[in-house]
Amino acid sequence: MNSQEIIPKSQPCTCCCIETLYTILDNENVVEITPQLVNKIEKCLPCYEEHNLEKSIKELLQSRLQKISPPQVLLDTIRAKIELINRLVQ
Amino acid sequence: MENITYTEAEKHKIFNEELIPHLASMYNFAFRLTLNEDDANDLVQDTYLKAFRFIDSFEKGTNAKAWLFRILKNSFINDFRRKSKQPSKVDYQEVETYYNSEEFEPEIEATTDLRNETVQELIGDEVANAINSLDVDFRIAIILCDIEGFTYEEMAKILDIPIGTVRSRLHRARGLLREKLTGYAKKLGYLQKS
Repeated sequence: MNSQEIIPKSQPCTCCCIETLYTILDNENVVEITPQLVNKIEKCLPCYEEHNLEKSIKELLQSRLQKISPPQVLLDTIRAKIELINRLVQ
Repeated sequence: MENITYTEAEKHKIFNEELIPHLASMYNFAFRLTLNEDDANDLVQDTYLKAFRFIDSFEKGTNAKAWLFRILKNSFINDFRRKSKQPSKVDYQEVETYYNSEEFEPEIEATTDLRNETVQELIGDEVANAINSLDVDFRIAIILCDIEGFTYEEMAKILDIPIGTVRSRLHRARGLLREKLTGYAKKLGYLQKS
């Protein structure tokens, strides 16, 4: 990356907006991601940092949040209640 | 979609093959909303009973997970939260209007402190605490997008809001989550307190 092309962090970024970053982050098609736009983002420090930080947080949520297994009794209870409702209806 | 009339055998087949496989995701979603295992159990039971009762409004082979999440979210908002003894929450519409207004200025200083390296230091408990402390509507947006991987379009259907609102809500939710994570990072000494 050419350091002269880097926008200092204290300056507001005007090359792209949060929607562009979210489009990339969430794999959506809110705005069209052209090679020129990707090139601009890669050369813009605030955008680059913003994108990497959001990506890290998203990965953090996916990897560190504990997945809780539902108790086996839950499925049994749901099935039993449905059977009961069916019997009452018939 | 017009309702389809399934036979009893078809109903059970759809229920077992298309709805039950999402039980774990549903339970986790319910737990993240209620923050209590017993309440999560009740909410998931309620959701599956409603799903079975109204199964004729579900077209087999379509997006069962999004359909179930929508029922669960509505049950939580309309029935469960109303019945619970929690103190009344701030009206979400007011919060959203405020965050979308020109009066709102995000706390830039708090959010720009957080760095990639700091994020890696945070453990599951801190992440869970940060997400659990968000207002429920912001929490839902993060869960649906970042944890469950729903598209904006699916989120719009689950939440009954336009896609533009999904995007703005997600933006606010991510900003608030970042503030919470920054707070934890500072508290734990990963970041210098200002």
